[in-house]
Amino acid sequence: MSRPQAVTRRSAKSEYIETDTGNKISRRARIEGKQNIMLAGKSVVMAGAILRGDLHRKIDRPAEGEKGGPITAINIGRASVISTDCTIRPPMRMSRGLMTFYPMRIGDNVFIGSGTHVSALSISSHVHIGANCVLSAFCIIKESCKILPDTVVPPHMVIPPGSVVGGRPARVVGEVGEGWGQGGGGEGEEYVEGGDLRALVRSIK
Amino acid sequence: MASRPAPAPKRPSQLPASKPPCNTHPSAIIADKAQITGAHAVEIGENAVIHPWARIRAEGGKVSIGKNSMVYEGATVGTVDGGDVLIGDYVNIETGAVVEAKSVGDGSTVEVNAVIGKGAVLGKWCRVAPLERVEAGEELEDFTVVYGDGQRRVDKTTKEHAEVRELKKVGQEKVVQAMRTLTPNAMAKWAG
Repeated sequence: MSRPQAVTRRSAKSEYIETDTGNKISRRARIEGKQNIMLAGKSVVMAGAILRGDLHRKIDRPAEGEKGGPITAINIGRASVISTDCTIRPPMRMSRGLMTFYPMRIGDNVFIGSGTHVSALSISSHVHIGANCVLSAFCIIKESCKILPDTVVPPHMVIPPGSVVGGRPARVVGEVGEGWGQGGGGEGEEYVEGGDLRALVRSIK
Repeated sequence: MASRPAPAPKRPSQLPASKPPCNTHPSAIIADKAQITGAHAVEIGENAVIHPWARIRAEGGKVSIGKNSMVYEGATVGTVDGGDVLIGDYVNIETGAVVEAKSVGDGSTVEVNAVIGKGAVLGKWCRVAPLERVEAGEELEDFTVVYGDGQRRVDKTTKEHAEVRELKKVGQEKVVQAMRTLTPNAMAKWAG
């Protein structure tokens, strides 16, 4: 019995499954509802991460032709990294008398530290989230932010672009400098917070 | 129906070492990937929802979950050696929380990654903010909010207005309803 991919050096039980678009998903990641999760490309989901794609908005109108396709519960951009033991869960709230889940959007080059719980409505690009944070339901994180480790962002908080946020409850404690995300992204260089994470993604095996 | 199921065809490693005697209400929703282990009894009330990867450990004592309560993914309920855990009605145990309390009163919420020590007693309508800790043996009065860095305060709104409590109950029922449509029920795996 020959396996067509046996030609490469990849061992039979590598940690990550690599998709056509370059996404690397750990075999030990816990993903529910994977058909509702979109990974744009070159993103990494590490071991122990829990992605709840099964919590999505239910569409009542059956296939009117406008939207018969799958509903995306979680949208993750390019070169984003979801570290170990994170939980990504779409936020839910009461809407017109019914509890519904809202689709969650995570931008490009977002680094989510380990053990973080993310229930944010949207996280824009180039954001660096530390370890063990809690981003409660419906918070919105704008571009180029840095969230310190152990932060608890309360529900519905909007974090303006370029802020450094920390504490419980989270407060804006500073601003990222102008050089945020510059440098790094080249081969062999250390990756820079908020910068191009593609090199980091490439180095993860 | 055999009380101990044959090894699951797809994922034999997911089956717990010992399946405890479960007494689950027929309307409860238990996800397929929930983990219920231990030797003591597990009782799951009406309309309760156990999300995937929630862990119920009936190893130290029995675990009982009340009506309309939700145990979210990654949460751990139950002690290894500490005694029974009684979760009341309308209780929310959020993601990653560790609950080893002796009892959690009705309407309480234990938020993300909070830790409730062994033998603690939470009153009704309490709220433990994310990442907070309630030490072992501690007792929280009804309507207590644990927040900030260990600070406590009393939730006067819920305490003084019965309508707020009613609305919270209605809200919880709607959440359960939404979960019912979204989670395929694997209760047959755990019943019996």
